[in-house]
Amino acid sequence: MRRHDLISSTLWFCTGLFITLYAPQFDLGTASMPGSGFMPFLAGIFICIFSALTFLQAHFDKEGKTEKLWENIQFRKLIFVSLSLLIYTFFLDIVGFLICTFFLIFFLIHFVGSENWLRSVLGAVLTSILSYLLFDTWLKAQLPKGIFGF
Amino acid sequence: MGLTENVLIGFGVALQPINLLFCFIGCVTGTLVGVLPGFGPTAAISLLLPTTFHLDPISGIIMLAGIYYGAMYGGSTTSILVNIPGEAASVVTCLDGYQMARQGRAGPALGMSAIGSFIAGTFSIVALMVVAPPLAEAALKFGPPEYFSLMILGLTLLGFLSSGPMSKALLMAGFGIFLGTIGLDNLTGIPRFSFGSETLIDGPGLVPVVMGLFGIGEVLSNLEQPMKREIFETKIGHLLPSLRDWIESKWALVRGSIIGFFLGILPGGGAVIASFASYAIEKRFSKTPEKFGTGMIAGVAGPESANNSAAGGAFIPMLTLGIPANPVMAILLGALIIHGIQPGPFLIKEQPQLFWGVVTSMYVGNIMLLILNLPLIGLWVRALRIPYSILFPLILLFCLIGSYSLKNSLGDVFVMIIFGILGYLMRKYKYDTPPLVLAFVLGPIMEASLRRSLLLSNGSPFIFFQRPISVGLLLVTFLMLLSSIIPALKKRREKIVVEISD
Repeated sequence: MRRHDLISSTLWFCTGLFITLYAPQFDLGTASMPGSGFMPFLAGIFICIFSALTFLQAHFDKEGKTEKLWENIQFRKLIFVSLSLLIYTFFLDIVGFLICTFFLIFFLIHFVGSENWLRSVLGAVLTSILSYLLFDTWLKAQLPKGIFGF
Repeated sequence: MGLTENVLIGFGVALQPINLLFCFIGCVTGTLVGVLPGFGPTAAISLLLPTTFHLDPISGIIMLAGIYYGAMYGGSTTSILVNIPGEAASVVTCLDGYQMARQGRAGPALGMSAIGSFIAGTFSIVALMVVAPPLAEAALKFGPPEYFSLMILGLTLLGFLSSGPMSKALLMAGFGIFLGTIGLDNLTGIPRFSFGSETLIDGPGLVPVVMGLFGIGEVLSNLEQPMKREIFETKIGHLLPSLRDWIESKWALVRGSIIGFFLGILPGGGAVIASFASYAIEKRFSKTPEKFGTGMIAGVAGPESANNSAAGGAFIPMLTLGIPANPVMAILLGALIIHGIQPGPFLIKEQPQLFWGVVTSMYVGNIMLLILNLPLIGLWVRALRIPYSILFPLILLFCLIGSYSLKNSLGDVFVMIIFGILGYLMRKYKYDTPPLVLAFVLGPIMEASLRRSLLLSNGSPFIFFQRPISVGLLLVTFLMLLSSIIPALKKRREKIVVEISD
């Protein structure tokens, strides 16, 4: 984990530093009355300290193995899932729950899950209708109807 | 009112048909969640949280609690039959449970696991009934300084008990505290770190954050590798353990129940650590430690009783102090608040129906689970055959609907997806997620306590050292931090961590 810890702790340190520098904008307050910025300021310092510690531990750990974290990873699936969720969210209000869910589930079962067409279509139809009935009709969750009204 | 009257009130609530139904739904869902690998109780509870919004709060909490302790029962099935833990608390059961299955002793392993879970579950409920009321009475003496010191202790414990390096866990806690500060400051009304976003003005919601970290993050982790799931073809046979099995397991059951209960109470402790601690202790107490990992029934009985007992113990800090011990309790705390109920020292007095109803329903639920897990084991084994290619789209959809239906806001869905990707990366780079979630929940309480304390003392920080309970809590914190610096004790902690990760 050595090299990965060096990279990740650096990113965390930058995050902590950003929080620490940005927090005083919300007023740090006084000793008797800490302001709105005090707690995020403290949290930022906390993040900086412990990310620096993680960095130092990784730096001095000369025996630590460097695992190949990104070897044999099915990136295609990860990207497909993340993108499909974002696209689903983007179109949900416009197209409506039923149609959006049908396409999302079909895409996930067929292209990510590698199931055949029949299973994918059947799964998508059943899932979208049953989830609509469960959440919208029974539990009154008010799912988005979109331009088609369903 | 005495304990007997309270228990009777509780059973009066728990045995109402509607509550029995929701207890049953919770237990079935929990067992299913426990059985299915790659889908933990934290994600399941956050997914089903929106379904409780229109329910009576007691029924809703009974159902959500049922999912939690039900998952502890179900988790062992996959560990024993497939060598894949259904949820994290059953990881250690794989070691001996699967070996027992390979030797044709899957039945006694499953039976001991279910009966051990029942015994430990019952023990923890009785202990919860006895310990919670006096603890709540004591908590009435807690003012802001005591709460602040308790939060400091809780966050330190998170780091101390985490499975990885303490610095990484505390880093996560720091980030969790920061997340808790995003949005409107309750005291001044100033929006912090919201960058003009309507979603962030109320801060990122607990449910989207948890769903992202535990639901989406888990799905992404499972998808990155082809998932092999081979069910070991064996006859489960008779489920009741033999007399010899009982003799070999009796002390493991007792020790597992006690250790589990106490580790369940500690923030950051919970079922996972309890099961590992129980396994390590059984190995140490055994006359034949070298045989552990080859199919020792004590290696199944101990951890399985410990994780169930921990599930009961975890309710204590949440119901008496309003402090969640683990992410599941954090969601239950959120569920109570959504229903307008403030968990804390007053809960038992002000909401006796809810407290005693939920606690006694856990006893009813344990009986249901024993029936569900022994005679119906074949049904759960069949559930294992559901392909992940069908399961993961359903998990994702439930996450999407769950986060959307909280406030009918797409912003929450975006928050969930972002935390899903973050959760995946955190798993990859070995950063623990529970400290983040707990600090996210505890952070705002800590901030409010700090500010109130300093107001009380006119800005003097010595207020934390002038009150006996606060001093006691800070002293324990200090000793804990000291132990992580002193080389001998540090080595001992690291040894435990290595044992756990092995």
